[in-house]
Amino acid sequence: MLADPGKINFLRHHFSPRDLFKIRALENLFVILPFVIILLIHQEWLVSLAVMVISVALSLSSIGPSFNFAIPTPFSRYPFEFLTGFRKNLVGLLLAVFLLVMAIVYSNPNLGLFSVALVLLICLSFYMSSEQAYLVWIHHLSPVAFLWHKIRIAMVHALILVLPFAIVCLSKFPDHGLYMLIIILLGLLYLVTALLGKYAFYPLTMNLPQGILMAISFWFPPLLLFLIPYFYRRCLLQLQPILS
Amino acid sequence: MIHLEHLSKAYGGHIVLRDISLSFEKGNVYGIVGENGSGKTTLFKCMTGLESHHGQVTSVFDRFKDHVGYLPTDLYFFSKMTGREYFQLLCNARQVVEKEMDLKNIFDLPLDQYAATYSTGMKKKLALTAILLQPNEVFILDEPYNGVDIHSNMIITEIIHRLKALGKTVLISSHIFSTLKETCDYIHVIENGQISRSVGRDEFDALEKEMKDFTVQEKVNRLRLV
Repeated sequence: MLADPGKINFLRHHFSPRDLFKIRALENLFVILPFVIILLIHQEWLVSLAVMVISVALSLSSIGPSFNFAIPTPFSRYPFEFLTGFRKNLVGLLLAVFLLVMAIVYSNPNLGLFSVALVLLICLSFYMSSEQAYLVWIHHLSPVAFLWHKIRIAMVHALILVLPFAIVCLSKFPDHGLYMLIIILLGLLYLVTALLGKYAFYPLTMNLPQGILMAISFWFPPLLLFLIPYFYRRCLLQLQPILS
Repeated sequence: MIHLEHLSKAYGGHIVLRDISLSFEKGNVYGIVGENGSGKTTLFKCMTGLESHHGQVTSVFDRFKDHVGYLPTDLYFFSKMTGREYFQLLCNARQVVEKEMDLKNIFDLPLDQYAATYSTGMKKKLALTAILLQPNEVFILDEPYNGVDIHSNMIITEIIHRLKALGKTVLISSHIFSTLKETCDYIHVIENGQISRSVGRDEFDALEKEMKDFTVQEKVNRLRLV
């Protein structure tokens, strides 16, 4: 967010290069301040200095405006949540790959299972923001058909992302198949809940009580049996005026 | 073909559209003109169903919205979606299989770049091309000429002529009167949310002169430029 191209462009138009550098360096230093304090408490003098130097140096960089290369994804046939989400969360997905590699190198099945769960969690985040009503309106579908179309695409796309992780993990830890199955099934259920949650309050975002219910469902999965039908009914109500 | 009956819209206490009744026939091009904030965009949004309203919008179609290609004035593109993927999204929405995207990219847009990085005019052209890939019977174009270059301007005008020849119904709002004169069969003037005047092709010159004399001249005179 600190290196957001739009923000940097705005600052560039309003401040001299020297002031722009000062602003960005200060912003970066504020962000790393808590971490530097912890490093100093642990007497990691050199590391804390290095972190500060790197953060100031990063304020000179601007990767946004000139970076217009479209990262290839396997989701181009059916844009858009997974397509844009994949590109926005590439770093998170690479982290999941790293964790999977570590799990294999150090023979840690729990880490392998966590990498699969992480991929599914990243998929959930694709449904956290709502699109413009126009992009729902364009669909030649009834609210019911629209929802099922979205659910089908979400399931297929999530499996495209998660199955390579699951297969690699299972080939190394074959006796953890049941845990893997549970994680994937629960992940897909949460994905459906997130998708329905997005349209249940459309065009607004999910309100606080429903957000809390969803958060509780992570600790108490049987709550999904209530949440999914509740969100589904609300989705139909919210989508009716736009799609009918 | 499309009938608006007593269409009204208010945001709280602010009335944007007042009792609008209009008809739009197949194979005709209609222009909607009016000052900023007069209600043109709201009228289009109400017609498409994107805004709730009082009154009725009826048509010969069972589900009117499924036959409308709507070019909104406030275009929004996802930050990580290319022009080609936007085309795909709009084609999927209407179950269209389009295999000649590059051929139909008549504005020579860089389809493999992120659409959010396009200029205003390029975004407009992308969105317009996308709705032309769909098999629509009615086209509602809100400010289609906004931000586009002269050459593209001529292409858009030609597209509207071709749509008319194909028997499609086209509604356009524009601030550029010359383009409306060139493309429209009828022009409706909207003032303070009401249709103040509706004219056919033979009265366009008179309308333009009237707008210049009474609206433009009178307002600029108020500046008392020296």
